[in-house]
Amino acid sequence: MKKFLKNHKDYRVWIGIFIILLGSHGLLQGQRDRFDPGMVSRPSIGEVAPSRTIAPRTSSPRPGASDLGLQRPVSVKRRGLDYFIGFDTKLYYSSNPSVVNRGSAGIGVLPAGIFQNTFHTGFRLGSYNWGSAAFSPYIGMSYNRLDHFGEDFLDVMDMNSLGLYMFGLVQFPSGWALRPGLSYVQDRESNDNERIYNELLPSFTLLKTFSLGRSTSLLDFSIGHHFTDSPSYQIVGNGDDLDRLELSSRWTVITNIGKLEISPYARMAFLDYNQGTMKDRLDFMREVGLNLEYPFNKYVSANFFARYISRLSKGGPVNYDFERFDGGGGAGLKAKF
Amino acid sequence: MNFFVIHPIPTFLLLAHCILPSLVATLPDENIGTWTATEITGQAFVKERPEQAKPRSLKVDSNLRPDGKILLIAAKQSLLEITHSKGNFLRLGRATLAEFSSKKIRLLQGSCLRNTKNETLFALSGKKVDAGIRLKGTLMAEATGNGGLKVVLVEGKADIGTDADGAKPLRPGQLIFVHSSPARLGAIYDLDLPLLLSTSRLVSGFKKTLPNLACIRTSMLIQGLNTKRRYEALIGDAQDDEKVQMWAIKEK
Repeated sequence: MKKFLKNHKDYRVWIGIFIILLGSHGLLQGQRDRFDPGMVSRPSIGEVAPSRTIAPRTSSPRPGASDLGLQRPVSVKRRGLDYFIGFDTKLYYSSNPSVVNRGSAGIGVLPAGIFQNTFHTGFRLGSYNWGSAAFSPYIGMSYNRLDHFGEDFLDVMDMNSLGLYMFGLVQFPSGWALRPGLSYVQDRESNDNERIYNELLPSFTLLKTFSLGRSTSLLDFSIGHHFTDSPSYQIVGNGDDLDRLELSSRWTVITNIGKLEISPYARMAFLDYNQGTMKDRLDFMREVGLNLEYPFNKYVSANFFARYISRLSKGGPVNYDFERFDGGGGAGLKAKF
Repeated sequence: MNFFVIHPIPTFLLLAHCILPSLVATLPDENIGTWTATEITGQAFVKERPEQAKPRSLKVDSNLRPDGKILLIAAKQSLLEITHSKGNFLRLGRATLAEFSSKKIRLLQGSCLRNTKNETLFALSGKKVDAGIRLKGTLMAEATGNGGLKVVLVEGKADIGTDADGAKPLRPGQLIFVHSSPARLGAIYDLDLPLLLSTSRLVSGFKKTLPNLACIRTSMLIQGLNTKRRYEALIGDAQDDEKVQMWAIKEK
């Protein structure tokens, strides 16, 4: 080494240049006056890097060692505004699409196929801290088209339906939630675009989410009043004869097996009609069903469903009891921005 | 004429930058008075005077008067909580060494959680950095390998400021690094709050639950509603002023 240094008397110059280079590198580093996480020696966020076998030395020497807790970064919307849009298509069999009473010698009970297409879109207008609850207002609309096939007599029941809604969701950390809302529905016959029914429905729903083993359970209780106008019903009564108070409850259990979501549910509703020819009518609706949904990705899913609905009715001009079984499947497209 | 329009955010930052340190020093301090050790797991010690040769062992109900500066020590595998009044307390994590006075916490090693019911101004320092904090709620901090700090707001409202960068507001679930000399504020990360809180010893390692648990759960709910994406990573230490360690979460 000494020989090397003797032979290269200008080694001091080389060392000097080396020190200057080191210094200038340090100065450049110093000019990075902002702490830039983009410069860190880590896999880019979102990518999965090869897992380390030896955790790096740190004040949190390994994941889980920090008393602060695990610090997983998330991307959070600043304003909390969501826009969602979706399209669902369903093809199914219905044993009694015109919901008529089988007891009346079966006249009019005509099974048929139904092709149903629904477009829906809406906004969540932020989420706000409201005392010990989170409040999120929603507005949206849906457009639904119903076509019958396999039974020509039911062509007159083909219809499309426009729905507009707004509601506020107040969520409590305990799993309870309140949902006051207002919706408007207008039904039109598909053949001549004649308005056959519209209603305004203010409602108030109480929801509770809880765990049930590996499943999530959702229980809701709802009260609402349908203020209706049925031009088609004016033939036999008044336009508002279908005005009614509705009390309902629904219990859904959601279980995931792999990607498949299985949701059996049961629903009961009590309806009290209070206008015109329907003044004394009381209905008790029962429904049980099973929904299966298999998402292929974030946007596309396939679904299957089966449901049984029955109505026990008393009062009113005729007997409104019915039973109906529906079953089929379809596909859904949805996106959230 | 637009030059003369007062913009609220720059004005707040300017004011916070200029007055935060002096406010810390001049405002009446409700934290003066007796603090009491309210919960100890393992062993905890206090050194009340620099000339004190050996730290005094702390017991539950031991009184502390941080008129000057005291050194609090939570030993390895130990946790310590000291309380001034209802909703106004400090927790130290395992293997933590912190200088504590009524207006200042210097975290030399380990981690701490500060909870205040009323808005409180205090200085939070690491080995090499100093920051001012305005807090009403719950905040956690940890010493980092570069002598700086990692600060996380759990619930409530907080502003953090340094001489070099002025003040930055923090939202619940946000983490910020304080690093370099003079102290600078790093980038802000949003953290998965449910995961953070369910794995935090400073939150769940104590018998007493946090007094504002309902508000914390609301913050979690709102964050859940506003979350766009969860990254497959965990934030680790900052060993120097340039780098943050991240661990990739292994996909199943």
